[in-house]
Amino acid sequence: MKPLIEMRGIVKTYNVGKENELEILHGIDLTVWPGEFVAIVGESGSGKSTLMNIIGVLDKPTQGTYVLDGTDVRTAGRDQMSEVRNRKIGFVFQNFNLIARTTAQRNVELPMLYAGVPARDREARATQLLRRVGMEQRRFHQPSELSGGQKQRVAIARSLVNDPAILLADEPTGALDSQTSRHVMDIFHDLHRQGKTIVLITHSRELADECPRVITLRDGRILADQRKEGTSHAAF
Amino acid sequence: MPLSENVRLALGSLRANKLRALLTMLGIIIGIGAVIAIITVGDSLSGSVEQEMASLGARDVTVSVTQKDDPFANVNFDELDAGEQDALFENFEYRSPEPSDLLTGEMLEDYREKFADQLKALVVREELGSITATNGRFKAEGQLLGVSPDQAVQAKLQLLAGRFLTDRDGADGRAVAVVSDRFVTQYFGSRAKPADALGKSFRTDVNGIPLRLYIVGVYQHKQEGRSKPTSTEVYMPVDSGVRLLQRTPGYQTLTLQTKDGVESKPFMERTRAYFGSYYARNPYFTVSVSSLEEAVKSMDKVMQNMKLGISAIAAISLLVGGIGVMNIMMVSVTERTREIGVRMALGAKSRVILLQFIVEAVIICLIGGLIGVVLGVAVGSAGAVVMNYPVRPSVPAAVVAVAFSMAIGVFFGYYPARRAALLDPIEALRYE
Repeated sequence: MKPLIEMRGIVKTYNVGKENELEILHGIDLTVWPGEFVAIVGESGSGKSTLMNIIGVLDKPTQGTYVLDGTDVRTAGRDQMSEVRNRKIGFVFQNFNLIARTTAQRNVELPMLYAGVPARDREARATQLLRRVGMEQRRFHQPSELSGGQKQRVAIARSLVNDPAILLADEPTGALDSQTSRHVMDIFHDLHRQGKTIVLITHSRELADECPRVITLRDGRILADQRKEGTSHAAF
Repeated sequence: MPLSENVRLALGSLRANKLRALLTMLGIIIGIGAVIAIITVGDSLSGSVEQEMASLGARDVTVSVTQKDDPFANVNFDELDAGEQDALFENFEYRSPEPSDLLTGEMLEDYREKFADQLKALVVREELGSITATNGRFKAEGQLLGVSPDQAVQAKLQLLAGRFLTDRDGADGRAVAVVSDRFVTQYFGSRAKPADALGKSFRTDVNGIPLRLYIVGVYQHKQEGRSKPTSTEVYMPVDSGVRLLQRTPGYQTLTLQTKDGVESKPFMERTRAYFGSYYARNPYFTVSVSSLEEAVKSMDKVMQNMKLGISAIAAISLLVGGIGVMNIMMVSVTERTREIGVRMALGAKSRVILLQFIVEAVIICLIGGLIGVVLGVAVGSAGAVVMNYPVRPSVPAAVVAVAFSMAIGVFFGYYPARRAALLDPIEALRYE
């Protein structure tokens, strides 16, 4: 089996060559295998957002190699990065980031639109995923007509439509109350059981501890990488 | 991403900011509207002129006896100052042509023979005066014209009954007339049919000379404009008219119509040369040959210049409108920075974002252009109606205007769209 994420010596430096040059990540090695549910936990300033941007192919590392699901993203251009994100990454954001004035259904269809999926297939697939997160009844509602938890469920449906290699969730419960947070986390656990690979970025130790594997980040370095006993991928 | 999706997106975004979109369109609406309005008025005007020319005969060539070295013929009197005007009057003595100065029947016969292959009609048309004919309680009014038989051809008269004048009518000096159907109903009552008038006569007088004319033909009066004329034209042979009304023989003007395919310029040159030869030794008079065609051409030129001027003003309005569109697109891009970031994170490539915003700008301009065209046609048509021209909206102008407004959308939408397309997705996602 090949790893989905293979990072070697990732360094990220901002303002390279300038007076205010700032190195955020100091050489990260990270391997994530298919079917893993990994939490990356760290306080603000630990470099977890920067690492997330690199994992999500929104940004490129200054040094090091990153192979995502067999694709070396180091040499990718802007449009190729878009394509990689479109097909291999499913984003779930803290503030949902649904497109305003656009129905849940249309929001979920969006990644398929950019992938060039025909309209009929888009509709069927979006409906199917909204059903899976329990939002089928509200699929023609606009984001402004949905609660926070409902928005996040739509966003999760959207992240899954192109069947990405990795679900990348950035503080997915950060804007939700404890009850809806629980609900959203349950969805992630369900997806994990169904075999999805999930990377969860959070500052909350409590949330991270729910996950089978926890990577702790501090000051741009991996401080700890713990796998829990008895979890399905403990063997790696 | 299919274009229809972009159009749907753009419409959604415009719907969300209806008033803003409308205000943005205003510049385009005014610019396009102004051009279309002026073109509609202009085309209606030239259409009306053309129509009038066709009915008068734009291709008709007029030959007239004019005074030699008439200084008024060559200068624009209004442009001269008072002294120059006085000088003109002092040095010029107006004289009326003697019978020997006029065109004679023999000249016309000879000309007609020599130019038979090019000539469709040769019309002599002398105004003899207005006439009134009473028949009991009925009263008919008319303009009595002495004409040659070709008048029927030149004026495209349509006979309802009887015949038109012939060469024999004139040669024998017959007191016959062709009247209009309107004249018939005026004289014989509204129930009279054109055929009823044939062979009947009516009495009248011209400047005190009594005249009795027999009706040999009735033509259909062509209504021009909305008001019904009280008097119509009554035609009699010009030779009979000259004889019966004791006019001096000879003709001062005649109208020529060429056969189809005859070039008017060389024809006019040859005609001028032909008649000019008779006047080579005449100290006071000569002939001038002219055609309305040139007048129409110069008028078209004035119209073109006017259109050009208005178009320049409209172009400025469109430029300002385009800048307005650019401005609002910048605002739209800024407002939606985060949305752009999300779209990029979900896999939208730069050109997808570029196209989305260009389509939005184009749609603003397209809607503005369409409103402008509708408004322009409405205003232009209203103007044409007020000025009493037949309304002639220009389809090509409308198509060009709409296409042009779309081009404005592309041009002024490109820069904001490019800014959107080149946003850094991380920055855009973080934008509050």
